[in-house]
Amino acid sequence: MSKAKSQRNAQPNNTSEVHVASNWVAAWRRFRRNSLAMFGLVYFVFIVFVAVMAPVIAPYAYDAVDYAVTYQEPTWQHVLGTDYLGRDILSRLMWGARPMLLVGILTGLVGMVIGVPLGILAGYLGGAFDWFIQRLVDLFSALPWYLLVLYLVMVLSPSVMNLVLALSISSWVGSCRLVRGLTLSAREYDFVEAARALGIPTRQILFRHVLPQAAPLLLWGFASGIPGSVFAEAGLSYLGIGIRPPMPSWGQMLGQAGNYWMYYWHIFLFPSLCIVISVLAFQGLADGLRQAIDVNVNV
Amino acid sequence: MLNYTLRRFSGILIMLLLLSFVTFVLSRTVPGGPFGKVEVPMGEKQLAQFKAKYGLDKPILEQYVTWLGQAVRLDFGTPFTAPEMTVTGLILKLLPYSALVGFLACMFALVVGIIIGMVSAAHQNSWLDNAIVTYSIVVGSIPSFVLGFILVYVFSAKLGWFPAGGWGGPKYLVLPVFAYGFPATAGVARWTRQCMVDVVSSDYVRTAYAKGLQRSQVMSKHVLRNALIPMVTSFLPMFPGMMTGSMFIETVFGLPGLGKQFTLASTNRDYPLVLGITIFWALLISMTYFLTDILYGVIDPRVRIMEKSS
Amino acid sequence: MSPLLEVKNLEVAFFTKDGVVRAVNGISYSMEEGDTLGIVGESGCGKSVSCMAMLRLIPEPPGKIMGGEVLFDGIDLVKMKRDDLHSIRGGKIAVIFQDPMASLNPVMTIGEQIAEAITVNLGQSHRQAMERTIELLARVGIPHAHDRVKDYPHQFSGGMRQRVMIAMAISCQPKLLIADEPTTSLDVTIQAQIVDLVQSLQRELGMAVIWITHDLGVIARLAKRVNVMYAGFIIESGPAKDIFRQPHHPYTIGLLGSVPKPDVQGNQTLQFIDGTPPDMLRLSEGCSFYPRCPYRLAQCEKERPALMQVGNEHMAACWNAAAAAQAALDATASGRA
Repeated sequence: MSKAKSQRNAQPNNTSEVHVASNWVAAWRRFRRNSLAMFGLVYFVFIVFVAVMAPVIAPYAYDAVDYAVTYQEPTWQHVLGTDYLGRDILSRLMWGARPMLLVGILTGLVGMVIGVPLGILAGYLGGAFDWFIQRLVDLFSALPWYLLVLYLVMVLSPSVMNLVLALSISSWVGSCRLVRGLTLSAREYDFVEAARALGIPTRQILFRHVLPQAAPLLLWGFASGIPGSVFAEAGLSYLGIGIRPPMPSWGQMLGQAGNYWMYYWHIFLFPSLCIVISVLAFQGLADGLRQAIDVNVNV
Repeated sequence: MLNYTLRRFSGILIMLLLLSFVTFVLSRTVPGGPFGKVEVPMGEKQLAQFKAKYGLDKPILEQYVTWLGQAVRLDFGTPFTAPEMTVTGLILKLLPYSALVGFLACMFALVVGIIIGMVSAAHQNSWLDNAIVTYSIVVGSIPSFVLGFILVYVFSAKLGWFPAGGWGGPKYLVLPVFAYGFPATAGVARWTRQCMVDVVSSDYVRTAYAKGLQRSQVMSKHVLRNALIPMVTSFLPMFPGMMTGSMFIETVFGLPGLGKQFTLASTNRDYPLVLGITIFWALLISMTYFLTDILYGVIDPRVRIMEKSS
Repeated sequence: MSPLLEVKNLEVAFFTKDGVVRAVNGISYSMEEGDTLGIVGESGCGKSVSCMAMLRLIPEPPGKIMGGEVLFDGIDLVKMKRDDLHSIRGGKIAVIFQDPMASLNPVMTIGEQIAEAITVNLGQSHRQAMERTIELLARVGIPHAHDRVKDYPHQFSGGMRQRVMIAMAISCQPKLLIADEPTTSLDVTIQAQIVDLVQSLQRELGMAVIWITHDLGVIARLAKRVNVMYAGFIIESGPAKDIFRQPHHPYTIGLLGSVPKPDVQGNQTLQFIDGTPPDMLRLSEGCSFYPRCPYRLAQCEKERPALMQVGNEHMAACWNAAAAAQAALDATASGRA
């Protein structure tokens, strides 16, 4: 009941500092309550650790070929078994965390680098520029993501950065829309008019007021884009147009398994599990963030 | 209403033009085209002949205008990798396979997803609701091709109930449709639940009860009607989205569809084909969005009136 | 003559993730036919919940009626099954809500919505219901009723929408109308019109009206009797005139004192009630107003006062009511001097 809630949160009417601090604390408390979100957070820390430490903690090199032990099911020597070239699956999975994270995180970041400035400009300048940006947004959101990605991958050379670039071409839309919406509504606020009357440049208003409001929402937008990027990287690598060898990627491992994977369950189970758990964890993380910051925005 | 329609339509037209121009220029100007030395090694004279044949030696703008002129008549040329057919012909040949699988998968996703979503909304905050929400998150995290693998492993390799791939009778459709449609049920269920809950907890539903309506009357005359609006506008675009063919499903199951062809075409740098499929997809999807917008304008009186008065 | 409505010890609670919120803690009052009762209090004091709970219009879960009786025309509404209450709602007891834009279905014409109430409760045919709807719209002051019947809620202004809601509420000539802060979101001038409208309809139809608000001005115009609520309790109750002239509960005194008075000479400092509303998750054993009360005594902290007689049909729940009332009278007298 909202009334009960407002009673509970009734603060002594001294400083606004109290409110800001309590907002973050309250958000954290809400986040903590969501067990899937906590799992996502823990997993995130774990996988970053694995990815960073892969050269140190992986038992074998990711490209260590050993024809004597091809297709081996899990043994003490190779805890998760070996693939068709005798490479250790566990090590390759560990190394595979790198491209997954890189693509996932960088895509979101690049998407924001493109989307946020465009959104602010669109909202601030309005007019023809805004109309043009909006048409671009329509265009990019109407097309299936893989269309653009495939195009760019085809046209550019295969590399992690190009893949990231290609994926962020379709992901910038979200942050752009968000920021544009916020900028537009900020312009309507009375305090903006008042500030302008006082001679404060609009630029400053935007930075002081719009962006701080946008920050938690952008964080959430960023987090919710990660599962999609992970999925996209896995899928594309599986098809052979994502991460190319020698760097292993989980999707690539699935794709390389060839026609024999049906008889060697370990070759497809472990990479599949990694992909599913990662997407699940990041999904949970994003969901938890959404609950924590009480997303309630009409873009 | 007419105004609204026209505006939307022109917007889409502009978008398509923009898209076609950008993709066209991209494909022509980037180094390493289909005649790069690695892909198709050929001598200087042969290269020149080839280029002349495909009009690749003319200035970009002229090429584009030529292409546009043909495109408007739905003539996208011939694919480099299959010169015996036209691009349009090839697309039309492959489309039915993708469309069938996509349509069935979409129906499956919608039917199952909507039912689950409504059950979830009806028992909001109960254990059933929480279980369903968890289901949505978990199932939604499984990529379709991973599910495809699992299904083939279990039902094909181990149990032998269904074939692992290829095209034949209905038996060949079961696993792909399920692999494609099942993860989609999660999103459908989630959105259905969201729409239903939003409506059920709204003030006007409370008013409906306050007027003396019984539960069944409130559900049918107020809740469903209002919830269907956002639901339909989100679910309708799923059809063309899925009927154009999933690259992943078609690759896993070896289906002769548009999606698989697209990946092949792009790896082979078959520009006419890639361009043709791109435009086709863009056209299909924009048309659907356009139709959905119109539909929205018809069902939601607020939009109708706004447009009339503006 | 037995009363139209008898509320006895009504208790309503909400079971939330953070604990149990005791929104209504044992309130009792009664109304005769044609009475006008005002329920005053700040946000969260339980005034809306107590009335919505009577008709089971609160979400259950997390809400629940924990105890008490609500006798309407002799039938105990609390004992009725929630699904059976439809026979009472609309036809016998009607409600108008605070936000008419949110409270009307945005994709149905207002004519349809009003006619729906009529067909459901009075069993009339659709055509008859539409005719009656047009009459009702005209009665509540909507011009060109015949044409506007086909319009949607967003095509009306705020005041007009509220009139539509009123038309819908009185369409079946209910015996009791609950008005839950219907004027709070409207302009002051429109407020006056709405209040007048309800008053005239009340006279015409002989309805009893419960008017829930935090606006004392509205109460002064409308109500014969007033219940002042705080933290889920009725802390003062009596004839409106008496409560305005001689408030006895410190909260009521504070409430009245915080309204700027145009007829006072010289400067006045705006009185306000110190402190914040109580935490509804943890009710104290003593008086809920204790932390903010300027007239408190030691015993107030430990023992919650029950409603006690302080005048003719005038009750207040305060151990120190007499002193508080006297101080208030003195303050008013000196203010006017």
